[in-house]
Amino acid sequence: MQTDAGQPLAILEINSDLTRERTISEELLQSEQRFSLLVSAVVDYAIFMLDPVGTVISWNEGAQRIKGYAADEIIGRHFSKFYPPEDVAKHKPEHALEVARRDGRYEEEGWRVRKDGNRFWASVIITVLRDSSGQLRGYGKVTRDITHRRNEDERIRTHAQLMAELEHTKTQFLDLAAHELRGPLTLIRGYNSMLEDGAIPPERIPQVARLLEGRLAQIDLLVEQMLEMARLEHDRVELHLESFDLRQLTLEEIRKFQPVANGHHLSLTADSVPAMVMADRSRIGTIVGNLIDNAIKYSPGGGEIRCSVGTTNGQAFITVSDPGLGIAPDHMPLLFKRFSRLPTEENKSISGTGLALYLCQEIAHRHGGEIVVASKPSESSEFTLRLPGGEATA
Amino acid sequence: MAGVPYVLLVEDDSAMAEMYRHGLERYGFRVAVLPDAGGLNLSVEKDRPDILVLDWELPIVMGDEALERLRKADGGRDLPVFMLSNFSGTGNGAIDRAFRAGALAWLEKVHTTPALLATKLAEALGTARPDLAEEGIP
Repeated sequence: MQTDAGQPLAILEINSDLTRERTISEELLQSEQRFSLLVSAVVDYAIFMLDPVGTVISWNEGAQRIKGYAADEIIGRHFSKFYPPEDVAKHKPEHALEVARRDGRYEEEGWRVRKDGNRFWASVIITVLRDSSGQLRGYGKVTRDITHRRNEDERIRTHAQLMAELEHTKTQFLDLAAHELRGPLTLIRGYNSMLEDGAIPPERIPQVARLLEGRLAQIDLLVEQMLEMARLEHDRVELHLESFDLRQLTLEEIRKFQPVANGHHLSLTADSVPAMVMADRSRIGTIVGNLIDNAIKYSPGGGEIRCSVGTTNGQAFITVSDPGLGIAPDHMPLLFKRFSRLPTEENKSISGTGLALYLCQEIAHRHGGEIVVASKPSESSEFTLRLPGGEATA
Repeated sequence: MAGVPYVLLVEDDSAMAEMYRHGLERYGFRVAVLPDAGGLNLSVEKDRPDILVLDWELPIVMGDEALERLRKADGGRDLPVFMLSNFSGTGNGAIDRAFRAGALAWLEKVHTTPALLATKLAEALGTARPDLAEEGIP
């Protein structure tokens, strides 16, 4: 302060306490350092910054681990380097920044490329960074490698799809099996009611009884197939092996089917020597029966069903051939698959559940044998069961 | 309709056809059987049945489609028709198509004895079901 003459009178000292500001500024610096330390130490997330045009300007440990680049290899490069070429061609990187600018944030899951060229499935979040005046300063980008999760999701999806298909197939099978049972049940109930009210003349009763017996056998067969199926699924099939002549067994099956083979002639050709096998007689009987049954069913025009039994190269075989509808080449691979009915225009009204051939082949395999098929579509089919053995020891 | 009512039965399963034919004849109907619906319109035009019993699952043409075609044929427009099948017909819309084409009923074979079928046919024709035909008539 001065006098009127300009002499100094006093000195006014203004002191301001800046301790607080200084403390705040130090704390800020420390906080930034801590934050930077935290970001750089994160290994599970790639966290880095882009400048307003998309150039990488910071890099953390996680980014290096996930993307494979060291900081000095990637800082200064455009972030489109992380995208697959096809996405770059579609301008996806530019689009991501555009959305982030417009909405404040961009989020997606998609393929990204590592330094070594391998792809990974990434979860990406891009956040726009603006200063207090609203000026665009760049973008924060957080990327996570979720390939493992995606693979797991895919695995679960595939599994769920498989289960749904299986469920569908089983429902379809139940429908078919119910329908298969209803056919013979209709005849049994119908004839029974006619027997009851005297609509069947006494002299026809034995004939009706035979017919009903045949239909009961059909029901029995289907029920047996279902039980066998359940045993196979739980791997509880026990084979009761015995030595027997395949010629004799075939003859028995032919006799069983002759009464229901309307319009078909069943014939047997066999070597003069026995075709001995060591096998489960009842199950092999089921196979031969099924082959004959199919031959009858799939040759609606009638004709000769030829069975031939013999031995060759240490194997016994039985071949059943029919002059029927034949099998289209593209149906061949499905023939022995579980529940696979092969509907065509010609056979759509022929009954079946798609179980028999599957079961036959499974049982043949369990004997160390197999069923093979040859067919000329619209002309003939020939099924051959081969079993180990065949030496004429009896 | 004069005299014995005449039923045309389309059924590809020969055992099934034989059972219904035998039963219906015993209950006083005259029966003709076709193993498929291929020649159905022709048969109807030629033989003029009083009523038709049509299986659904048939070779060549399925029952509901055969019925739609029949409605355009001479003598087929007003013919009373029963569908007879062991399929329920609900899964594939066959039952709806059959009713739209004027089927009187969709009978499930397993619940339809020849006697019951005879009763239904007689009701539809406005006649009482005849009692069992006399011995000697097939």
